[in-house]
Amino acid sequence: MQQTKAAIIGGLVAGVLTTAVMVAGRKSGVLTKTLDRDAVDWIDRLTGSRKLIGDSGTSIVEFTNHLGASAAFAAALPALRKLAPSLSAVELGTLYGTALYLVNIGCIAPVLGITEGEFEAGPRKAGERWAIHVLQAVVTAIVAERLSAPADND
Amino acid sequence: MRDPEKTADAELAFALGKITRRVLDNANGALGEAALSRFANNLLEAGDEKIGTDVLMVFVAGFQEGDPPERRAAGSER
Repeated sequence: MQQTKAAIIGGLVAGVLTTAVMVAGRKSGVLTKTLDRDAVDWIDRLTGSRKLIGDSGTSIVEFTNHLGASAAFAAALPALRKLAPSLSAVELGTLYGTALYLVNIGCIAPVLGITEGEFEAGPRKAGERWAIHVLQAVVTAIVAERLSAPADND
Repeated sequence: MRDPEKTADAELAFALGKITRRVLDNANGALGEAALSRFANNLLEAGDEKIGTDVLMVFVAGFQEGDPPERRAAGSER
C-alpha cells in the first residue's frame, strides 16, 4: 500500500484506539480527566453545544475532530520515516508523539484555552497526556508499517 | 483464525494491546490487578459493537500480557 495512505489509515486506527483507551482509563480510574473531555468542555464553552446537541453530540463532534487531526498528523509520518530510516516504528512513534505533545499540549492547547497548561495540570495528568500522544503515534507508525510492507507470498 | 489476513490482524491487535499496556505502565507506574481488570472490562465495553469481538479479545489479551520481561521474570520466581 502507498505510504501516505497507509499512514492515514494508521492514524485513524490509532485515533479510535486512543479514544477507547481514554474512555476505559477514565471509567476505571486508571486515568484522570482525559484530553477528549477537556476538548468537549472547550467546544461547549465556545459554542454552547451541550444545550443544543447534548453531551453525546458534543462528544461525537470532538471524536470527529480527533480523527481528522489523527489522519492529518499521520500524513507527516512518511516524511519523518525518510529522515530517520534506521529507527524502529516504536522509536519513531515515541519521538513523534513526544513532539506532538510538546507542541500541541505544551504550547497550543493552553493558549486556546483547551487545557490549563502542563505545570498547572501537575505531573500525573501531564504524564498521562504525554503517554496518550506516544500511544497515538506509536500505533500509527506500527499500523502504517504493516500496511505498507510488501505482501508476504510464502 | 486460520485465514492469513485474520492471523495478521490478530498479531497486530495483540502487539497493540501490549504497547498500550506498556504506555500506561510508563505513565502511571505498574497497574494493580484490580485496576487492570477494571480497565480491561471498560475497554471491552468501549469497543463493543465498534470493533470485532475476536480482535478486541486478542487486543485485551495483549494488554494483559504486556508486562515488561523483567517484571514477568520477577513474578515467576515467587
